[in-house]
Amino acid sequence: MTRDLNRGRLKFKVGPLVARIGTSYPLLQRDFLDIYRGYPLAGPEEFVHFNLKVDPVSLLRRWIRPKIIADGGFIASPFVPLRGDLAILALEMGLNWQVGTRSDQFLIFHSGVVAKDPAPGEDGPSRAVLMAGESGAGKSTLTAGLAYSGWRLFSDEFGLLDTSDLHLYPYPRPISLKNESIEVMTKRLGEDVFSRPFLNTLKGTIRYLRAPSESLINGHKPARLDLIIFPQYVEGSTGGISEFTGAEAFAMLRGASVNCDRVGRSAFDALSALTGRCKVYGLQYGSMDMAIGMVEALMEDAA
Amino acid sequence: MKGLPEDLKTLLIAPQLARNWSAERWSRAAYLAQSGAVLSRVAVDLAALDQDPADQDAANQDAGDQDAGDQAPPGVPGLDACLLSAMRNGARSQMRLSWEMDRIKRVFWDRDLKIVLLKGAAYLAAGIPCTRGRLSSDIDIMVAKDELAGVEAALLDAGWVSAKEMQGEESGGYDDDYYRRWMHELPPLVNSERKTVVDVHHTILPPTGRVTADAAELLDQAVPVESEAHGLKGYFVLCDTDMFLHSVVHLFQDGEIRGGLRDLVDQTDMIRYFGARPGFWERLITRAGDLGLGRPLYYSLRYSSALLDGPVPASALQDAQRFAPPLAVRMLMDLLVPRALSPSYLFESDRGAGLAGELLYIRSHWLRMPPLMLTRHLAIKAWRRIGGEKTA
Repeated sequence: MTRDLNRGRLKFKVGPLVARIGTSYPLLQRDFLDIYRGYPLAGPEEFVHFNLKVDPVSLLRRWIRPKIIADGGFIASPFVPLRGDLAILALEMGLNWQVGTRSDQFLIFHSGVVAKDPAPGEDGPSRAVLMAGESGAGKSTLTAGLAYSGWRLFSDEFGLLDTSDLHLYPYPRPISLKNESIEVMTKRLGEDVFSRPFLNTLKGTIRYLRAPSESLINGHKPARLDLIIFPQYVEGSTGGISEFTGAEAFAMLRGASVNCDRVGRSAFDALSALTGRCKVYGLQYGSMDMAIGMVEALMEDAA
Repeated sequence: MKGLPEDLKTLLIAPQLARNWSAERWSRAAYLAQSGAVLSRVAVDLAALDQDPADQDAANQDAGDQDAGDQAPPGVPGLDACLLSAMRNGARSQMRLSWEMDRIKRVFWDRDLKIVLLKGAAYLAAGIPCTRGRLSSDIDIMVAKDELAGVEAALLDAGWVSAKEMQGEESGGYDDDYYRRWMHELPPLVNSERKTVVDVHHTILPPTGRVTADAAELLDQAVPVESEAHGLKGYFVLCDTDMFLHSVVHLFQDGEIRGGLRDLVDQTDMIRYFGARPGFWERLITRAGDLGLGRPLYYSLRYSSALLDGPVPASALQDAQRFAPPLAVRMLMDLLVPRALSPSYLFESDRGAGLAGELLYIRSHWLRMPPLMLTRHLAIKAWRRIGGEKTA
């Protein structure tokens, strides 16, 4: 695998998307193989959607005060160099940027997504809940909590909606947790499922939580979108739910979508259909267990 | 002469031949098309083939498949999604362009003003086939030089702001001043709501360059938009020869050529479209001579026919010979231009392309301003780059 990374030949799958990655930087190779362990590799028969190279900006900067930059082959590159020890962040941002700007086959929501699969032996669709809202509202943390409590992880970053059937596609990437969230989640899940800490990033300390292996095994299976929530962590909250309907729900969903204007008409139609079909809630919570219980109950209710 | 990457050329001129490609081949080719900003166009062409069974039969025969009729559509998993994404992007770009032109029209509705659409908007108004899947970023319009101040004031009044000011540079700074004194356009204006950029030109080449064009002459020959489509009636476009020449000077005189594949594709489409009009080629050669744009025209015809099989009549190529550069220059350009226009795959290093791009970048500046001014300009840019590095 290290050799494939070196030669830019490592192709791996994230849900319906295939990425080809190259890096010659040993520290990044180690971090990458650590947080992406267990990801399905793509064979030669699969189309590659995204290409990314992440390497030192120059030979000098490989060794002295290392600086690393992602390269997706754009003429005007949107990427900035990062400190060598944060190279994995450059890779993660590079990949997210490409997915967010070039996957207009989906209507993309800036959101966390998890789904409930039918119990073994039972029929029925997988059912997804989409969690949108401002950065810092606690989406990632709640997604992480649910993903390790019997739900299948779709994404902590992007909800990929097929506008033709209103199903979401998985995009199970490692979950990036920041600052206080790290402590909350390491207490819950132990150290083993986490990457090493990345200190002094622009957003403080970051640790990546690996995607649960079941979500990787079933990473190709879409789920019907049944529930939409806008979660908000409020310290000491005893829990609160408010429902949004009609134009308000539409506007909130529109605000959460990344590429509504690029997808065009089909995006508008999908948003209208969604607000007609799904319940949309604002959800205030004071602890992880409380939030998980509330989401479980709302999903029961949405059936 | 080195050609474009073979598969990219195939996608551009005979996409039906790509049907049976493997996933690996498609992955590389789609990347190249994306880098060359032509993937949306390719996606539109492939979708059109799927809808037209007559073409499909032809495609099968071209591909050597005798069993026409029950051939499968491209069987590469994941490819359709990529093409759909590209197609949506192209459609959106076109819609945004016509909407933006609609908004600009509103600003000037009560004035008797000749606004000439340039580039993407002009191709849309004139119905040139290159508008399919064409991604436009900025909006380009042209007005007479003495209208410039009024147009700028009206746009500023209607919600556009200076792009440089938006980035924090005060007006009157070096860039702003540079534009106003030496360029053929105003500093870019951004719509504060939609973030779209409009470039207001008063001619098609910087007045400092080795070659300049007579703006009054261009404006004089501009023609009103006749089609009702896209709501562009009321605007003007350059006449056919001038529209073609504008694209040509943009790529081969004023631009840096690197990354300009899409422009050469535009030109090839115009060659096909305008070239069918009676007398077009004679008018084109004469007009280029009159406007002093013969040299860039020579390059365009040469590279369009060599790299994209542009159907330039032999007689026109012959006539354009009189604009040819000295042999040594031509040989150098033959070496550099195809390399600079060819996107390269991320995982295949191509040092030649990088060097060719750099050399042509320097050439573009050399053509744009006198040596002393160039030295000063590049020095300021370089100084700023060093300064920028320190503060990052």
